Amino acid sequence: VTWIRPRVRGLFRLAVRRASLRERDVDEEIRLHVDLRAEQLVQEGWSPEAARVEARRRFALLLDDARARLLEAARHRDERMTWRDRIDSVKQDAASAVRQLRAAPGVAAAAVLTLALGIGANAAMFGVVDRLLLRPPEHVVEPQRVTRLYIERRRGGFGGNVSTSVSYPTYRAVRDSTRAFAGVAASYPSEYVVGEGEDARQVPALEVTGNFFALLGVRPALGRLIGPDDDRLPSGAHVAVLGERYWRRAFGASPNVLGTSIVVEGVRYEIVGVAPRGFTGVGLEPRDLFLPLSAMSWQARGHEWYAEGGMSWISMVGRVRPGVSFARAESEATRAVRAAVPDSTVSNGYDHGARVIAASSIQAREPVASEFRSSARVAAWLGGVAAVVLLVACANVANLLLARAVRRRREIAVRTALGAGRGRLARQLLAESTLVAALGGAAGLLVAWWGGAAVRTLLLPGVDWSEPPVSGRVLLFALAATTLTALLTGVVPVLHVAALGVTSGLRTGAREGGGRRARTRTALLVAQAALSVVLLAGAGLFVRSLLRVGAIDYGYDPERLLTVTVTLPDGGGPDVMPAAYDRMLERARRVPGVERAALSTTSPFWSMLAGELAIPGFDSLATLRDEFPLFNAVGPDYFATMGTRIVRGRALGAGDVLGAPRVVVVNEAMARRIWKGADPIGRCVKVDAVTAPCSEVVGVARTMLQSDLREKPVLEYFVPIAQKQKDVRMRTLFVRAAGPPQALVPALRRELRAVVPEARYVDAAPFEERVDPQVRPWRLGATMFSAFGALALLIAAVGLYSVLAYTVAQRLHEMGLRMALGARTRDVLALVLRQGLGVAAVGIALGAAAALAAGHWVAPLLFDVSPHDPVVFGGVTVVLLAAAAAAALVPARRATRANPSDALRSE
Amino acid sequence: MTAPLPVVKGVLDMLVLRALSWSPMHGFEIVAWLERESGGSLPVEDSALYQALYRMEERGLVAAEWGTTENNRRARYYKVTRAGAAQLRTETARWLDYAAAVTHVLTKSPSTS
Repeated sequence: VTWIRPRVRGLFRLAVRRASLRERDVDEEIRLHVDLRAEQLVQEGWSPEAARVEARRRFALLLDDARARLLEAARHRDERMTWRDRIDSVKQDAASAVRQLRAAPGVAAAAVLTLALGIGANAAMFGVVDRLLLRPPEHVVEPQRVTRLYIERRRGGFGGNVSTSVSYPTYRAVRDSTRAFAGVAASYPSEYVVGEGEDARQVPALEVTGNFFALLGVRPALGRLIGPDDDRLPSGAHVAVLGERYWRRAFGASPNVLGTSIVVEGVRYEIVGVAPRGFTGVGLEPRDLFLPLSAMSWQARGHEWYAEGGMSWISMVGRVRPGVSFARAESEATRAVRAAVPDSTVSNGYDHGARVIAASSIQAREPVASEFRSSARVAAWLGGVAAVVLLVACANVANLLLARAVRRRREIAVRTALGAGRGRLARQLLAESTLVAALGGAAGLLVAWWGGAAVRTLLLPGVDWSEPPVSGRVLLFALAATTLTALLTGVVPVLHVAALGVTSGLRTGAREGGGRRARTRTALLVAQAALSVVLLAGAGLFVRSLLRVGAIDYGYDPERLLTVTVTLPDGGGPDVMPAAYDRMLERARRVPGVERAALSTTSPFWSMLAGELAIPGFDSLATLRDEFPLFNAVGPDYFATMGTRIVRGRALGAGDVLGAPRVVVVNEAMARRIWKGADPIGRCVKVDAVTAPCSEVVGVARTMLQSDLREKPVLEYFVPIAQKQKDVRMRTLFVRAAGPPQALVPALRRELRAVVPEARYVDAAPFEERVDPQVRPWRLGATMFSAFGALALLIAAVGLYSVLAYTVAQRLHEMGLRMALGARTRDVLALVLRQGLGVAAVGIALGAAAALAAGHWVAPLLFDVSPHDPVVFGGVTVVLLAAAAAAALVPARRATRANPSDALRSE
Repeated sequence: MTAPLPVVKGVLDMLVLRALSWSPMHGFEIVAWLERESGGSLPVEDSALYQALYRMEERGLVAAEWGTTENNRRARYYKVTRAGAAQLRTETARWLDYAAAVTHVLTKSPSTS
């Protein structure tokens, strides 16, 4: 018996086989087998009937379950094979994608790099935004019920002032007279000296009420946390809980710290526990030490501290009862404050008529302007900017893949004609874009790691960053971004394949004229250019803002200026502190690298004082309210050390001592406000009391910036520290360095420590560190906007270059013909340049329109810069045109080298 | 003549792969080939053959597709895949070693030990 070979057809198995189909197939196989066996038996001499029975017997069909078992085996087989088919086809797609990328490694590398930067930028910014704005405080249970309480005061100089700081009596009123809260706790952030002598260090600490940890639901990493028994009034237990970070750094994460003690501000505290990693209360800043509020207060704030209403210092945090709205909690707390402060005569009278605001537990969402809120807003903007960068990158990669799909369209057409489904081709293209995106995503994680770490340390150093830059959430985000990228970059080539006719590719061959594809690609280029313009405009605005911030007239020179403070043990008598500062001043002047040094009572951006003041002829001083002049007592050489110019009269000098005529220097703002146009020199002011003798105004100094980069001029007067016109023992030592201030810090600490051996801690720090938190949001914006803008521009320029280069390569023939027909080099050059610049021009127009329209949203983030700043928009136009010209120049020059005779020959 | 030994599962797989290594066949062709080549000394229950075919198809050792016989009847043709050919090679070698060892032990004369 001979059999013909089967006709082999069909490349792909049916993926899913329905049960009925399978049953039919199995039965058909059995039937054929039995038929053929019977035929064979008949040929051997069996009767047809007997042959049929025998054939069935040999197949075991007489036993009932033979067919059933075969069906079961077939079902099992089909299930497994369906899966294998799927996996196989994914493998094939992946392998083909890898082949495609390998075929053009340069293009692949460019695409992967582009996406890596785009995805990495997004993941890094998401990490920052997530930490600042999205994630509630770490280790807090049910954070949606936890609220940071703010108080809005309406009285006097506090008009509309919103703050978290309240007095202890106000806190008690809110805690004890409300029902909306399951609990209200309070905390006070501070810096404390831990250790003694040379080993003393200042660490960020948080003093907490006894219910603080329990209210938040925090569990200790080791030992126990502070509880109500530790925080009794008036004096609490001397116990301390370490922050996890500090426990690692200072104690090597040893579990044996429990029961040992540390010295905080000269007093021993027993370590009872370690807080969990990354716990910072309900704030963003790291906390290394947690102490009972009443313990530290008894030690440092006087024994009646809890009754002191005049001191507004602690911050409240509440947990509302389940089902209670923040609004109800707010109104109850407000009522409690109003009941506790019936008028303004009580010690916390400034809380009279105040309103309590229940805000999110996320600090950067606070209802009042702050460094973190500004930074978070800038970061959220930058997150959007990063998304735009990724869009530009996607457009670019889509363009690259499209160009290749166009080049491969003959191959694709052939395969389509041979029966490959369009679905399969589309899947292969998607596999390619997915592979590129996946590689980009993986590399993007590296970018996110480094970029995120850089943003954290350089631009947001004040935040606790216990989590690595690529956290689980960042990873998920990167995965989502990668998926989206794969779809975005894949969809254009896939649509292109879908629109491709089977025959057109075969007929026309590989040369491509204009048409739909070219339009798609031009549209992608214009979009890239437009988005780049938007980003560059943003970068320009932020850079201008930062420049404006840098050019602020402080009224003194904050560069090369240092502040020195000393922490002394308690109980040394009133004169110990001033004497210590006098000794430090003397020594500081002799430290090499110190240009000048001077003493002052207060320091800008740190402390301020105001006291009784009377000016004959000016009765309405009290009506100045929040404009009331600030007091400062300063030593000789103060103005020279600060770099503050004396605009009239003289500065305070070494001769202005006790017994000499009482003198005072006022600032320009005060001179203008009090004496209007008249000359203030020689006028009388009475310092500290209406009954005090006259102090003669001998000079007018430039107005100094006190606490806010955007503040209106603050009135201030200066008296000689030696004349003790008002006896104040607060001190700051200012030092002007000859060189970089940071370099002087170790020498100052060491040298000055020697003259105050009894000190717990001597701190020397560049003055700019005090201003820096206010500058940071703009620096963050300027730096990151510039980086992203430059990135987008680079990607767009590379995209423009690659498309033009490709077009020129396609049209080399045409260029040759043109030149054969008499076109000059210049004409061909202009032809290509015009194409590039045309794209740029349309992009600029669209991008600028978008940027101008979006301007009012960024305006609040800018410093003294209009969102429509013509310099910025002019600059961006020039930069983009230059980039386009640069990108077009190389392809244009290649076009001019087209050989006319070649073109003619091949025609 | 002694009764034929029943064919065990692993051996059946080997025999089927061997049959298919000549050319693609449908089920009955495989049975007919086996009976012809072995002279009837390797009896295979017909349904067991199909069990074996489905199992090997599941494991990717053979592939199947529908074709037509010379009498124009629809039949399911099986062919050896690359994995199946490799399996046949290693299993054949193992079988030969095994058979040689068994033969050696069984045929060794007791007096020489």
